[in-house]
Amino acid sequence: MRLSILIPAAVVLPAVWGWCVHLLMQRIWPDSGAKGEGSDRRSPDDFPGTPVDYQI
Amino acid sequence: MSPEIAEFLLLAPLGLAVGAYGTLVGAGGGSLLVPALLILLPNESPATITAMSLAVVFFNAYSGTIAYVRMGRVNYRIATLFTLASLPGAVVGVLLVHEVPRAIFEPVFGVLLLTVGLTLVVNPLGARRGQEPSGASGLSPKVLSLVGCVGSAYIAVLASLLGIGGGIIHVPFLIRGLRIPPHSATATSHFVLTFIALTGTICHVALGQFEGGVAQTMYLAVGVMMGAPLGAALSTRLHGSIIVRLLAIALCLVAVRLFLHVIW
Repeated sequence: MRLSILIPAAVVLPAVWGWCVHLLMQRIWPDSGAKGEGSDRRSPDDFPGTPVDYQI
Repeated sequence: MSPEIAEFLLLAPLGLAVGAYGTLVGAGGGSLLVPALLILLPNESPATITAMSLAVVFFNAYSGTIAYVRMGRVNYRIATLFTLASLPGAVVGVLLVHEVPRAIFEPVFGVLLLTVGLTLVVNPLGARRGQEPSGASGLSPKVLSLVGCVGSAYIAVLASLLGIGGGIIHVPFLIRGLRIPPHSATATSHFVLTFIALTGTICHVALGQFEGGVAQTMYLAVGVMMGAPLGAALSTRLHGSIIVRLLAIALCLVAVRLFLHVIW
């Protein structure tokens, strides 16, 4: 009985929860379009050999 | 020399090494700590070892996150997004630990981790032959955000099932799945890991799995809190591909541990 609840919960809930968090954050903290928002203030020369143009 | 001092002199340097390595690759170091503690503390139960490891991962992630914040490498928006997505999964995973048939889960997941680890060793940044890795994935930021949230939620469940913080799975997902640069991915993963490890530790305490090993955990915590800033400082001197390859080694070690657990 317990397994029959927990396994489907582990399969379905992360997807539903992740989707809800995504929608919530789009409303309360939308992406400003700035590259490397927050304290992430790297410049392309800060670290060797890594691209910096990501945006989520 | 008293046994307590001898234990401290054994565990604090271990914590220092785990803290430096874990912070360097964006993981908490649980993947190395659990097998080491199983050997060093044979009288403790595996459940206590897992609880101790997760508590040490929390101290490591906390110290490493402070170092990364000071360096200006944490993307707060992405870190908050993935932390919120991960927390319920960490609790579900702890509840599932005793329900999932380990004989099936461990070899299947071992093969998966080994495959990912070897892929990262061969091609750490996902660059095609003769091309520099690109930061852009071709997907819109909204789609990447959704993929990141759902992926982080599943990773939290899997990590809890394995009794680790999940950094070694989360960092490759951020780098190869979402095309976040390694130096940002490790810092962001550490931020997320702080809250996941704290949640997992609270769950273990509530389930009564943290009755022994408090002193040993504190000895290790002293070490990891000194090692984490060293790892963060070292990472700025290393190429992203080297960091990913070091992470791949941890992935392969976890895979080997899962295989050995099935055999023995």
